[in-house]
Amino acid sequence: MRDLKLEDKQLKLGNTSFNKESLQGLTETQFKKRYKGIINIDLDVAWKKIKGYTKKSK
Amino acid sequence: MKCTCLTGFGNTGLPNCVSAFDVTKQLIFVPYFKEDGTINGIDLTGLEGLDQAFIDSKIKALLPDDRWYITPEIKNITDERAEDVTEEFEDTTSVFIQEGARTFTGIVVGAPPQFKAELDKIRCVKGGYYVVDKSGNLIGDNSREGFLDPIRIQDQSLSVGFIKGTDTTIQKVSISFTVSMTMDDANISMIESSKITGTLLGAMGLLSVYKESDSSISTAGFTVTLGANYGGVLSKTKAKGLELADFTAFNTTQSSAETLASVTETSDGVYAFVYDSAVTAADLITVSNRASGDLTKGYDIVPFTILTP
Repeated sequence: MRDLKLEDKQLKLGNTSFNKESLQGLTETQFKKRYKGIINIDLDVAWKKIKGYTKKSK
Repeated sequence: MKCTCLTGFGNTGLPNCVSAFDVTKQLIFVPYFKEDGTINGIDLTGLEGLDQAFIDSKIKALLPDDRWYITPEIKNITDERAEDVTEEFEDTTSVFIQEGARTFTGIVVGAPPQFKAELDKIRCVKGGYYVVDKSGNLIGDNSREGFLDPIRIQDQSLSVGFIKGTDTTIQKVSISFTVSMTMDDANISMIESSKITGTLLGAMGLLSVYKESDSSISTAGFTVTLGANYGGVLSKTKAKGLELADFTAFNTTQSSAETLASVTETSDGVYAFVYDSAVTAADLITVSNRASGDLTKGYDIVPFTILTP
């Protein structure tokens, strides 16, 4: 298996680059509490995208 | 060169077409030795040319000892050997003892004092340099078979000065150094620009990035402002566009890697870091460049620390 480049291990949403592995197991409440006031896109929109990603990668 | 008893005359023919070096436009300073002690040269084995990937892998190399430190354009260059050293006798004849030292001087127009600080660091290691000439040729030392090595700089000879502007002149940074006496001009050779498909002439070196300030430090994360050491003290050049993949965090207190969950650029050069798991109070976190790959953003992050309250 090829070694993933660091860029492949992150997910970019708005002004934030997330560690894909850190998103696994994160609940909506934890996400919104953690990123309130930090990311520059609506938290609900961001969560939907992240949920979509984490579902796909399971 | 040194004469031996076996040295005969050299043949004096020249081919119809001889490649000529053009005027120097940029220098590429290189640590002369790699970490393993070998010369930090270009291995010519199987090399067909220098493409963009090759050039990026050098200019943006993660490891400082592997990196090419390319300067902006240099003007008013002198690159000459001093008079030969000879011994003269009473009958007024003389014999050749050795060549004079080759000295390079030039100026970087408009460069600020902070640029001098970066160049001064080159004096701290055993260094060499390649030349990029006006035609885009890469010039170095071909004395080692199968390699184009950097031309060795005489240790401790580099001198960098900041020259203030006047009513009639612009500020500039001057560079001068002596070429090592182990270098023989006869070995100077080049990779011709026709073999260089990437952009070398006009390429830019990396910018050192420093932590200007920090805030909102907690066990969950922190915010830092990152900038290059250029600009006014109240308006430093910001390091924009960095992402999670550009950073590595290490928990110095716990002696373990610290996984980052995210990095957010909240405004130009201002980054909010979130840890994957909360750290412990009093933990000292060291943040530095990415763990692998090239420094593709053009920034070299000078490691900085965050002390968790």
